[in-house]
This record gives sequence, C-alpha cells and structure tokens, in this order.
Amino acid sequence: MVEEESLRVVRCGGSELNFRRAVFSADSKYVFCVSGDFIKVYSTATEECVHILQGHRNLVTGIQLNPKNHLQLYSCSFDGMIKLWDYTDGILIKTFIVGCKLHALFTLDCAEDSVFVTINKEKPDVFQLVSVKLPKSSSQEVEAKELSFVLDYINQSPKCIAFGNEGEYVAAVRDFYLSVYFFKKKTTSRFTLSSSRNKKHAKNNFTCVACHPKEDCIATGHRDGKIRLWRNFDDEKKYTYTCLHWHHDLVMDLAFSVTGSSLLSGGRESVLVEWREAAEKNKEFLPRLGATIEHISVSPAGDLFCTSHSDNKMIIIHRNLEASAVIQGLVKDRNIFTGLMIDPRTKALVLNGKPGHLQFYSLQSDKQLYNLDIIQQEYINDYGLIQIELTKAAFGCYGNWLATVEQRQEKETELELQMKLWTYNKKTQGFVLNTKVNMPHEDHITALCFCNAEKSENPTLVTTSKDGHFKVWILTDDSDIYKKAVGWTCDFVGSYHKYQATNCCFSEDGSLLAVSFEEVVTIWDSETWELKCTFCQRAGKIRQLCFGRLTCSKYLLGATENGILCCWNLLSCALEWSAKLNVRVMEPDPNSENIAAISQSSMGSDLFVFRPSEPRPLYIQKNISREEVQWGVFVPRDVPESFTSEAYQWLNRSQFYFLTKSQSLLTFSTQSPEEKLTPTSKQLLAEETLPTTPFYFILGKHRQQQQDDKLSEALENELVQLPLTENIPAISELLHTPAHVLPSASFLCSMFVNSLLLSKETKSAEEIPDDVSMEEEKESVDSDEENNFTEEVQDTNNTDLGKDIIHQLSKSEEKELRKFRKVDYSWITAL
Amino acid sequence: MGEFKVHRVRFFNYVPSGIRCVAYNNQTNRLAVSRTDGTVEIYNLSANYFQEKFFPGHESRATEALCWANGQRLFSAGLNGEIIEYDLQALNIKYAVDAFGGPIWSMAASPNGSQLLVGCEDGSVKLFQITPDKIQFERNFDRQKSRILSLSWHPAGTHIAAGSIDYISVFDVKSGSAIHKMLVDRQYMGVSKRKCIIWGVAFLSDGTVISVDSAGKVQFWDSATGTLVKNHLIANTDVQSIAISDQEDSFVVGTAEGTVFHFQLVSVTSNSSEKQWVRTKPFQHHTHDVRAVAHSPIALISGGTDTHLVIRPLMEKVEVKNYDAALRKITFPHRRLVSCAKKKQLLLFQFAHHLELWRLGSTVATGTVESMCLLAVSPDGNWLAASGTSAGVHVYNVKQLKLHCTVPAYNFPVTALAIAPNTNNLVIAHSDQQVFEYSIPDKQYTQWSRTIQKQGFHHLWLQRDTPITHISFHPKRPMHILLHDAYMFCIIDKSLPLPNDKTLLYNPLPPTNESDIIRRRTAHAFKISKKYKPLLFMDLLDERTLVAVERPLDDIIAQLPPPIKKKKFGT
Repeated sequence: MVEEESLRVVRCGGSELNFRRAVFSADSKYVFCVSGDFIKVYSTATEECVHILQGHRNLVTGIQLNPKNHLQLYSCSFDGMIKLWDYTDGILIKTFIVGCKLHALFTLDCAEDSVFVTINKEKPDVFQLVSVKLPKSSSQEVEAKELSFVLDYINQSPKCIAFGNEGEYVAAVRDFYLSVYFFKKKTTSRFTLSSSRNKKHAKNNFTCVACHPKEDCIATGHRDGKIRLWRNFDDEKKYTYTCLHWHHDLVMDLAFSVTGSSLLSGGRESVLVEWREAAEKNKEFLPRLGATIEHISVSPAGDLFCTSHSDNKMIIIHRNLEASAVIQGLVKDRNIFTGLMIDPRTKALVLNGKPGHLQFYSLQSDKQLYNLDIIQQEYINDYGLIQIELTKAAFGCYGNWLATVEQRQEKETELELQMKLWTYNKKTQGFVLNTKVNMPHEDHITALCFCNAEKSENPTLVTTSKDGHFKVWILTDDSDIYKKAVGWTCDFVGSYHKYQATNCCFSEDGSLLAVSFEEVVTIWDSETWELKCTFCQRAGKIRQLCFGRLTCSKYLLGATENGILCCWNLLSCALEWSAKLNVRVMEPDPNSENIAAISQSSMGSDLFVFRPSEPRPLYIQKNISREEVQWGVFVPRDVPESFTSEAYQWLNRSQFYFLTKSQSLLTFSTQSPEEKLTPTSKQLLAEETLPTTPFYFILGKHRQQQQDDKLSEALENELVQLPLTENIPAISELLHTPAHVLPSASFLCSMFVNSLLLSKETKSAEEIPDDVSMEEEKESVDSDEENNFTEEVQDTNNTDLGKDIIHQLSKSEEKELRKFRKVDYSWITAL
Repeated sequence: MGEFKVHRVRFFNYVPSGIRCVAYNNQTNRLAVSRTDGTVEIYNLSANYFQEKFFPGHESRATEALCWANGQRLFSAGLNGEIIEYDLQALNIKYAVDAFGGPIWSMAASPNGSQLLVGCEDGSVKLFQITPDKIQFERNFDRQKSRILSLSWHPAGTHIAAGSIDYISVFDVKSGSAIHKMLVDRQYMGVSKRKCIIWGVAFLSDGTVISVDSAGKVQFWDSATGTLVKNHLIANTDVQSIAISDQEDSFVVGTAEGTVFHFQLVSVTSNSSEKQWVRTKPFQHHTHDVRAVAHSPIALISGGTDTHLVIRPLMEKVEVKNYDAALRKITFPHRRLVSCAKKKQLLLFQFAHHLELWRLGSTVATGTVESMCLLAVSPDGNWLAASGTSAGVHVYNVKQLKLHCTVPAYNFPVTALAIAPNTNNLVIAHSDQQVFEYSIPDKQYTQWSRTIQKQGFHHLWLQRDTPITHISFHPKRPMHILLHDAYMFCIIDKSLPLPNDKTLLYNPLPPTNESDIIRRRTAHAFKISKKYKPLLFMDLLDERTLVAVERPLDDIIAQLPPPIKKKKFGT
C-alpha cells in the first residue's frame, strides 16, 4: 500500500518557537512564529496551531505581515527566498528568489514594493541591511535581484535593527555604537558609548533596539541591564539620552506599545517590565514567566503582547499584563537526564522539561501537553548556583505509578538524594505524590525500573546505586486510623561483592530481575530474591542491559563500555553470541522482538536493528546523525503500518525516535515531507465562525444540515434528528479521541448533552434501522463512496418524512467524515 | 633634589559648611554660593572657576535665599528676617533691612532688576523697590496661609509664582492678588504623606509653571488655567531645587538623594514643531541633599549638604574639547588656611570663626576673627607685595612706606604670591595656572619667567583644576621654587630644562637603580609629587624638613549628617 521510498531521518517537531519575534495578525486572532523550516500559525484564543506554512527548504529567519494586505505574510529563509503567504488558508501565493542567505526581514508601510533584508557578504561577521525590490509579476516564482544597500556592518540579529517614525529612519546597533540612517537625508549618524573606549570590561554593549512609533525616540537595551532612550539624534552634537535601569542582567528585547505610551522590556529575570511614559518610577511588572524572555512583540491592534522564552514557549499577554495563553513547544534548553520515555496513558513523550519538571510532549500535535513539577521548589535563575537535578524517572503499572529521582551535589561528600513515587489520580487526571524517600541510597542512583509484568499483583520497583546495593521497593498498606493509604517501602536489599550496581532490568513476565554490577550481570528470582546465576564476560563494565521480548524472552542482552554486545541464553545460562559494537543506546520495541541499538563512532552514529535470537541485524542505517545520539525510544503506533519490505518491517508496529546531543528530536520516515502533514491540520481549512476543531467537523456539519432541513420541515422534527446512540460509529469514534486533542469540555458540553436528549419513542423506533445502516455501511466502505454519497444526499433532499431522514443523515454524515479522512489533500501544498 | 623629612599633619579638623544657595549671574559670569554658616563666596567662572571673593559668615546670619539684581548687586536673606546687601568692592555687608515677616525663606529679583520679592514665614510676599543705594519696601501681596518657600518671576515681570505648603499661588504683580491656587497632590507612591512642600518653582515665558516638591515630583502647570499639565515622578525623596536656563530649553533639579536630573525640551519628531519636556540624564555627584542648583549656559552647577560645589559642563554646549569640558568638584577654599612659623615650628590653622595654633605634640587655641588678603613680605623685610581682588600686584617698599612698582596687570586673579629670599624675586601664581617670576629690584620679569612664557607651560600643568595656594623657597637652593595645590606638590628647579608637551610631566620619582644618564635626560624643571592629597598646606620647616597638612575627604564626610539610605541592588 505504501510505496517504499528510502528510509530517511527526519526532524519531527520540537523545533524552536523562540527563534525570532512572533508576529500578530492585524486582528490579533492569530500569532505567527517561525519554527525550523516552517511557519506556525496559532490561534491566540485557543493556543491551537491552526496552520503550518511549509515551503521553505531551510531555516525560516523572518516573518512580517504584508503592509499592503494584512491578510498576507512575508517570510524569508536561509534558502534565499522570500515567500508571500495567505495565512488564513495556509496557501503560498508567491516566491521571490533573492539567491543569498537571508538573515532577517523587515517591511515598511511606506516602502513601495520593497522589503528590507539582512544579508551576509564576504566576511562571516559582516552583515548588511539591503532593500529588495519585489517585482510585480503574475508568475508564481519571481527573481528579485534588485538589491540596494542601506546600512553596513550591522548585527545579524533582527533585534538590533528597528525602523522608526513611519520609515523616516532606521536604527541599528552593534557592539558599542548606534547608527541611525535617515532615508530622506541619506545620512547616517553614529553614536558611540563613551565608556567603551575607556574601560576594558565595559558591559554597556548594545543588545537590542526599538523605535517609538510616534515620536523621534530610540530605545536601546544594553548588556549591563540599562535601557537608554535617545532623542534629538538627528543632530550628532545635541543628541541626548536618558537611562532606565531595572534589569540586573542584559536586556534581551524591547518593544514599544502601539501608541508608544509604554515600553516593554525583558531579560533573564523572566519578568516582563512595562515602563509607562518612559518614566523610571512608573513601571509595572509581570513576574514569574518561567524562563528568560528572548523576544517581545506587540499586536498591531495593541491589545496583546507576546513573549518568547528560552524554554521554547510563547506567552500571549493581555494589555493589562495578564498572561492569557501559553504556547509551549518541546523544552530544549536543559540537559536530558531522564532519557526518553513514553507515558503509557497519553502516549506522550516524557523527558526533562523546565528546571525541576517532567514534560509530557505530544508527538502527534507537536505540543507540550503538561508539565509535572517534580522538585516543587522555586527555581532561582542565577549563574553558579548548584541546582537540584531531576536525574531519573520511570513509569510503572501501565502508567499508574511514576518514580522520580532528584539529586543535588554541592561538594564531593554532600550528596542530597530524594526518590519520589507518584500515583495517577483518575479524578484529577494527573500524578499525585504518594511516597517521598530521602536518601534511598548512599550514593548516586544509576538505574530504576518497575516490574511491568501483567501477572504481578504487587507493584515492584528496583533501584540500583553506586553504593553497591540494589533495593527492591514494594507497595504496602500504609493505612492508619485516619485514612486508608498505600505507600512504598524497601523490601529487599541486594549486593554482589561490593561492586557498584549499574543497571537493572525485569524480564517481560516479571519473574527474573537482571542487575549488572560493573562487569558482572546477576540474575535474581523476583519471588524469593535469590541469586539465580551470574554472567561475566570480562568485557568491560555493563552500560546497557535488557531482556528480549515475546519469542525472544529467553535472551538477555548487555552492552559493555569496551564496545562488546553480548547475548546470553537464560535457559542454558551461556553466552549465545557476542558482537563488537560500541552501543550508546539500546532500546527494545515493546510490540515486537526487535531491539534497536545505536552505536557511536568517529564518523557519526549508526543504527542497528536486530532480534536477540540471531546475531545478524535486520536493518542497518549508517550515519543517522553526525553528532552523538543520547537517547532513543520506540513509540507504539496507533495504526500499524504495513511495510512489505523486510528492511522496514521493524517500523510496522512502532516508530523509533531519538534525541541527539544538540537536542534535535529525530525519527525515521519513508514519506516525503508533504505527505507527512497531519490530518488535523488539513481539516481545519474550513472557514466558519466556530473554532475549527475535529469535533466541529462532526457536529458542525451536522448542524448545518439541520438548518437546511429546518427550512423544509417543522420544528418538532428537529428533536428526532439527533438519534445519537452508542452504536453510531461517528460518535463512538469521537468519544475515543484522546482528550488532549479535544477542545475544552465546557465548549463541548452543551452540544454533547443536546445530542443525548432523546425522546424514548424515537429511540426504540430507530434501533432496527440503525443496525441495517451499519451493515450497509460496511459494504459501502469498499465501494465507490463518492457516488454512493451523492445519491443518498439526493434522497434526503427529496423525502419529506423526518424519520427516514434521520438514518440517512447520520449515515451520509459519517461517509462524509470517512471521505475526509481518505481524500488526498496533497494538491494544496502544490499551490 | 634631595630627600626631606616630612611632618604629615592630619589634625587640621577643618569641615567646610554645606552649601545652601547658589546664584548664577549671567552678566558677569560669576557664581555666588552661600553656605549654611552664612559664608558667601563668589566664584569667577571665566577665571577657571576661581573663588575670588569671600564674605565670612556668622551663625546669626544663616542664609536661606541668595540673588543677584541688576547684574552687580548681591542680596541674601535668611531666617533672622533680614535682607542683606553685600558690598562687592569693600567685601563687607553694605546694610541689612528687616522685612518684618518673620524668617525669610525665599527671595527673587525681578527680571528687569528693579524689584525684589521676599517670601516670609507668615505667608506674606513682600515687594521691595531696589534704589541705587538701598532697598525700599513697596507693598505686600495677598497673604497666604503658610510660609512661602519658593518664588519665581514670569520673565515679563507681570506675574509671580509662589510655592507654599500643599499649593502654588500665582500672583498678578500689578494688583498683588492671587489669581490661581494650584493644589499639589500629597500622594506619594500611593501613600499619603502629611504635607507636600513646594521646594522650588520656575515660571516660563509661555506661562508654564514648573514645581518641585517633597513628594519627589516635578510638575508642569498651566498658569493661565491653573491646571496640572504633566507629572514626572523622579525620586522617592524630596526634590529640593530647580534652576532653568535662560533660553528655557533645559532645566535642572536636585534631589535629597544627591541626584541631579537634567530635563530638556526636545521636539517630538524631527519634522514637527511640537516640543516636549523630557528627563534626560541623571548625575550622581553628591552623596547628600542637593540643596541648590544653578544653570549656566554651558554647565549645570549643584551644591548641597556634602559641601561640594559640582560644575558639570553640558557637552553639547561646549564648542571645543578643552578644560571647560571637564567635570569639576570644588571642595576646599582657594586660599591658604594654614600658616607656618618656621623657626618656632608652629602651625596656624584658620577656621570659619576661630584660629588654632599648634605646636607639634601640643596645641594652643586662640579665638579671633580675621579676614584674609593676599600679602607677601620679603624675608629681609624690605618689600611687601599685595594683591587685590581684581587689580594687579603692587609692591611696596616697607622701609620707605611707598609704592615701589606695580606688576603688569593680568586677566586672571592671583591665587598665591611670595618673595624669594636674597634675590627678592616675586613669584606669582594665577588662577589659570600661570606662574610668573618678577624681579622687584629690576622692576621686570626675570629671564626664566620670560623663557617659560615663551615656551608655554605643559598642557597637563594647565589642566589642573585647583589653584596654587602657597609658594615658598628653599633657603639653601635659590634655584628652587616650592609650590602646591590641593592635589600635588611641586618643586620647580629653574636650572633644569623646561618640559615640552611631549615629555612626561608627572614622572614618578626616579628609581635609584636607573642610570644617571637616563635620569638626566628625562629630568626637567618640574618635580611633582602627588603623594599627599588633598593637600591644604605644605612648606619647608628647615632645609631637610617638610610639613604637609592634609585633610582627607573621608574625615569630612564622617562629620556630615548621614545621607538618605538607599537600597543598593545586590546588598
């Protein structure tokens, strides 16, 4: 069914949202941000990604609204193109080919048919601001080669350039000077900060610039946290400036409000400061924004602000300094200690997020679902502070339990360790702290794992530590006279010759526990905690350890630091095979026998997929990444793929994701990028007053149909038009949609309750025809749907009897739905 | 050069008084400064900011207000209720007139210089006519409820603004009645303070009144309608003073935190005529309250409780980058406060109201009040050199009691003079840092003096910002002249070549291991030591002994009242 192309490594979401300033649409309904090679369009009200504008072949570096038509958006990219988009429909209108790397984009109301871009000529650090004339042409692709030079030796960042007073001048800052170019006079004034000459370690470098929208006033941010407001800068002698100082660290970005009555600034303090009337004493704060403010933008309507943060987050802030929406991508600015995990409930990717948090990230919607605060302490953002680090985490018992380990080590001898066990609370739909264990071990915890066997009646957790012990923790009754409760206690402590315990792993059925002690692997019976046998290959310390699954469950795999991969047979207690492979990541697929191993060499990272039963790999992909791969994980697919080629069969049940050292999340795909479009983003093309969600497609269309019917029918028929019972597939499908992709419950509630309001007599009357329609449906799925559907629609229009319509309506509706799922939308991207 | 034994004297317990008022006179480019002890000093801004005149104060004459009228006449008023006019020629008080309104808090001369206005404790504003030799009471304006703390004339002389407690009144000069009463908000950062004191007002020609008050606000009022136009909250503490430039395009305010803020009138956009007042640069040169500010065409002048007079030039107004472009801080008087009896090894310290005579190890205190004049007697007792405040130096023959000669007049005032033993050469230092040597017997400048005038002094020498206050001679080495200012001590060796602009002026004392040839090549006439500072006095006691009187600034600051405590970030 799927044409097999070559398997490629592709980036799968998680790209930066904070690379450039966000841009608001003129009506403040949408906010745009660059995200890798794409531009994302978010709704400011629902935080939902409405469109992804794809078409650039390299990093998108700038977006601006078209000043002549505010329903269009210009973008520029490293691929040397300027593209014009219709963002309401997500359509590419035009491409202008400039031909050199474009670093930033600016538009001006008054500049006729031209935009400004930053380009790099010759030397790597010398950037120029040039104006590009966009030729008028009807063709889709136009060459725009007419560049005229404006300013030289500027900073690459678009934050260091600002246009003021309706395009009368442009201000650019770099290092210690501010240059202002006046378009009318064609002169440049340059102001150098005096201390730059005198002091060697002067910290008043310019960091960013903003121009007052109404007055001749330039605001500049500096590395020492000061903001300078420059006036009279058309005279190089009489210029004057005033200082505003609140930030203690560098000012990351500045923005004037639309009227210019206030100035916004932000930096590493994670506090948005609003300077009213540019007065030092008249300022307002929005504190605790979570992470360094990298960019600030203001909506053209003036009602919203948007801050982009270093933790890959955008916050939509109302004019009165109240955060109204948070758009959170994959948090990337921290070390990943926990590795990649899959939450068994939400199928979300779980890893270290904000400091002290675990993030739950949906791979399907490229969106962070939520943050779980593990450390539960205020994070103090300061250099040189030794923070508590969340080092280990594991899910157990189908997502009912979560174990986390946090540590802080200020000095060699002062280790603070804490293990927390969290239980999933169905009522609150979140994890609740159950047990907190202080110093579970004497030394660093190296691994922890739950026993995930189906038959195990008692949840069991094993931790291994450098102190030479592994501990088995079990859930016990912790009730007292006040309440019934459960808690975790240590059940067994094991050790082996005072070696450091480095890894642990439960067999699939939970009967055996493998613990590696440096070079030795020990096998323990999980019933009696008896040492069953040991394996020692003297091939270096064991780095990874895992049991085989399904038919290969008799095998145990271990990868050592000396680059040997060993496979032991547990029945014969002998080495089955070994191979020389410097394994960095070894991950078993939960749905098959396959095991993926990523090896590290000087050339790059290679992927090997194999079954423990045979030493010959199923699939080898060389050089999947030039840098070191740190973590990998198999993610079970919702709908299994059916690759026929033997080489790709390992991807049928699960998808493999891996994370490199620079924190790019990558996966394997056979599809071209155009096909990779998620179905939801396609469906959302409809223009309605309703927010467009998948739910809308089911109920919204339905309602339209209803309204049509209303014209021809009496009101009482309306009631019987909603025969929504459990066996209507459309509704059942709807109910099985994961909760996190649905709009808020309050929005759905009235519709849903309405649909359940049924008079008893209609329900009884429907039951039989419903079954019939189900059968019909099954037949028609494979037949030519298009014709079938139109026929039936005609039927409904002709009949006057309400009860007949009901069934046909629900059926046609459902077909339409199915049609939507199947129709190929790839033509849109070709536009 | 030789080495000296140095008496390093630090027991001169001199504390200058805090500055209360400053008044700038545009016509003569002079600045009058009054201190809390009633002292009034006059600085000549054209002559390198030299303190040329000085009226000793008295506790009973604490000044609260100081103003120039008609460009020549200086008035002060104080809490004893008297208006005093100073005689700038005779350097004494011409007369004192009681205003009969209780303590006087404020005073302003009319723009044409014919009238004088005082604001009194009892809420009355009194108008005086300035007659050529006196002032004459003319009338009272409408009496206000509380004391008048600040006054300002409209440049046309038709209206005045008077700052009181909690409100500002605008008077019509012709009728003497209050036409507006502008109430000032007492609120300060949401907290209601008890009272809002209007420390200063300024009336602009377009009718705008600018007020500064104890709640830290600078407010702009429209005097025609009596409404508030704009409000700048600039400090958490009192804003105590305001001064506006003659062009009315910039003004300066001083706060109790020691900060001076500069406000400028700038156009909103380059192509529109609309202008707005913008707070531009803050200057923090003071540690204590800035009680008084003045705005000269090229500089902002401020003074306060910390006793410094700070002159901050406006860079955009300075044409050439010369000596005027540097910030100056005047702390010590430009005259000698210490005299030394060499044979008896006594030091005489001059304080504001008494003298102290010290012998090394023991003290004798005697109390008289003495006014000072620049005099120098030749060691053999034949000659007396005297310098007035403006004229040149006259040399008298003491034996015959008649004028011997007059040194040719020079533009800049004399800061120090002395007659050398044996040669009877008169050495004169001027406020522009020029040093002349004049031979009394020959009645002409000496050859050395002509040489150095021809070649010119080193540029770094001319850029020093304190005047030479004392000159003395080495008894055994006639070629040496010893002189000092507040920051350096210099021995001029007339036998050595003069330095030109390329040579290093401030060479450290030659290290002993260096060869004689290099030392001789780099040696020049000026041997400068910056080891002792701030230096109030330095002289030779005998051939091998020096006495140096220092007054460390920290010791002065330690005796001042504590400044307003400010939270410093990170502490």
